[in-house]
Amino acid sequence: MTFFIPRDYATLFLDGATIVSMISIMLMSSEARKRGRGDDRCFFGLLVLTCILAARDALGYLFEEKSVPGSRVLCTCGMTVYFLCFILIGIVWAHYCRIRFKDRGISAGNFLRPEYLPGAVMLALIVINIFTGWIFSYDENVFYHRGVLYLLVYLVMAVYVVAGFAHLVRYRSKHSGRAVIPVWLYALPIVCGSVFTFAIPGSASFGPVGVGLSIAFTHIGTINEMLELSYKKSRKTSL
Amino acid sequence: MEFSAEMIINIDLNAAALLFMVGVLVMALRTVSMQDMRSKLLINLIVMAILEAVCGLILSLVDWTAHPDITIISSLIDMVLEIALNLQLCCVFFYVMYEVYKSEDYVRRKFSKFLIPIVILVCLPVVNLFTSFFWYVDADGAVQYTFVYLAYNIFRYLFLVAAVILYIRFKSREKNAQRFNMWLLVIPMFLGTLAEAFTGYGAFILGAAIGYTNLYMLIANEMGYRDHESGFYNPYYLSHLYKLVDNGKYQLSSIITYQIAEEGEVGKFADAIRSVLPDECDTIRTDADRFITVSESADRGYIFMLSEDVAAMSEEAGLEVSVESVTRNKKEIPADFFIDHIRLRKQGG
Repeated sequence: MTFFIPRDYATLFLDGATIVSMISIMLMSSEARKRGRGDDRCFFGLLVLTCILAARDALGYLFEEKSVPGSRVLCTCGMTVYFLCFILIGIVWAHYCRIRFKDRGISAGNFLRPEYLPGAVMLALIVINIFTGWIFSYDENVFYHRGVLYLLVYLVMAVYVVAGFAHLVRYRSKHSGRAVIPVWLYALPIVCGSVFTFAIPGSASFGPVGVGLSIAFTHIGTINEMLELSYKKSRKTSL
Repeated sequence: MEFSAEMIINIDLNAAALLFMVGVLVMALRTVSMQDMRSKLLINLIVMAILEAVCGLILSLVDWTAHPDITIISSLIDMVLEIALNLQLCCVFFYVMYEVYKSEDYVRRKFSKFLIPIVILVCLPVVNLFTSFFWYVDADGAVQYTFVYLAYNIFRYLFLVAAVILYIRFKSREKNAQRFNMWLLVIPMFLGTLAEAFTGYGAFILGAAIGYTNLYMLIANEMGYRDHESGFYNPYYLSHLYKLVDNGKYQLSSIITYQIAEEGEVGKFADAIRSVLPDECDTIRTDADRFITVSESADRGYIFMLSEDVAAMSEEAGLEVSVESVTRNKKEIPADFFIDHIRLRKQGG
């Protein structure tokens, strides 16, 4: 089918795989969500946002640079959703790590915190971009163009992701159990994915896959820690 | 280096699958007590998937038409890929069999019966290497399939189909709180197979990678409810069971309580009574020396017989065990029955 270029197929497969993986985790963690804890709610939010990110990524490639009626409006709205999810994932991830990997005595709090203000400003700028084109725009041929504030989106997202990792690293330094997920495992999907994307011209973007994998590893790490805890408790019971 | 369209897609798919599997393997090896048969089967599945993804990456990255003298290497790598795929399908079948029958001995006995088809599946790609009976690589480096390839495909996927049939029959027979959900494994594999069948690109490995990741999470979730010494459920399972009782999904009708005289005999006790306890009854270790078995059966005669069997097996094993049983009255609400007899016992000690 000439309508789809090879990158579209690969993107469809990778993003489809990410969505299937996130939905599977949603089903498996449905019991945990009923506890009503802040970190469980944040984690569910991450799953939903990643699904939206992957869906938009897949659909975006289907309509970009294609002469389909209405594709410019669709692409603009889709990319707006994409960047909104991008920033929200960063904020929710930072908040999740704050709750999940917190030191004792630190309350979870809500999202109305000063450190999330830059993220809120960025979200407003992304919405305003529909009229200004400061971050991105699409021309008449539905070609994508970056705006002056394009890199700022990635910078803000990166700051929140790093802040979340800082909580994780501090947590690991105090809890040296085997089950605590190694930090390099989070970076692996993003680093390797980026290498493949840049080394292979025309390759699909590994962005949503990398985010989805990191979230899947987070869930696995949580299960492993609970498993180790129950194992230690059952050993104490038997002694 | 120039990449063709097919190369790009297959590289992306195999790379993504490899990332999934490497991460899950690292976490699986760091997980405590992954010593039972299903954990070992899962590790085998992951290793085979990694092998398949690596072979797929090598085949995708190298333009074999530029090296006509070494196409034998691509054939060898392709053979390894096919063997890895075939062994995965066999492992899935035995994994589901273990989840259904919960018996390592049963699976080992059945493995010896299925050994011949498994050996055939492993040998067929080797035979193809010398005969090109099922597929071959043409002068342009493209893989061409013979008409016999379809029969080969059907033969190896029979293991997966058999696993699905086994699971469906088990689910229709057993209605208790079965935590294993095979669909989280099979559906991603099925979607990957469909995508590969319609597009010709290697999507199966990505579907399999997601399926195995889900499988690992299922195993780890379930292990969180297991007492590692006896193999029965631990006290965390009680809250899950209470939710099922409260929701009406589990009609708790009888409780059998065992108290062993010596805490150090827990493993011996568990091995002794495991053979007499039916699959539809859950057994929970509620304390260092106390176990309960819960059942939906309100037949006092059946529960009494079960209690007697447990007492007899324990005596045969040289253990001192006191056994008590209680059955719910018809007017009593299961949730109240649970609270009265299980929660109270936990508090009383």
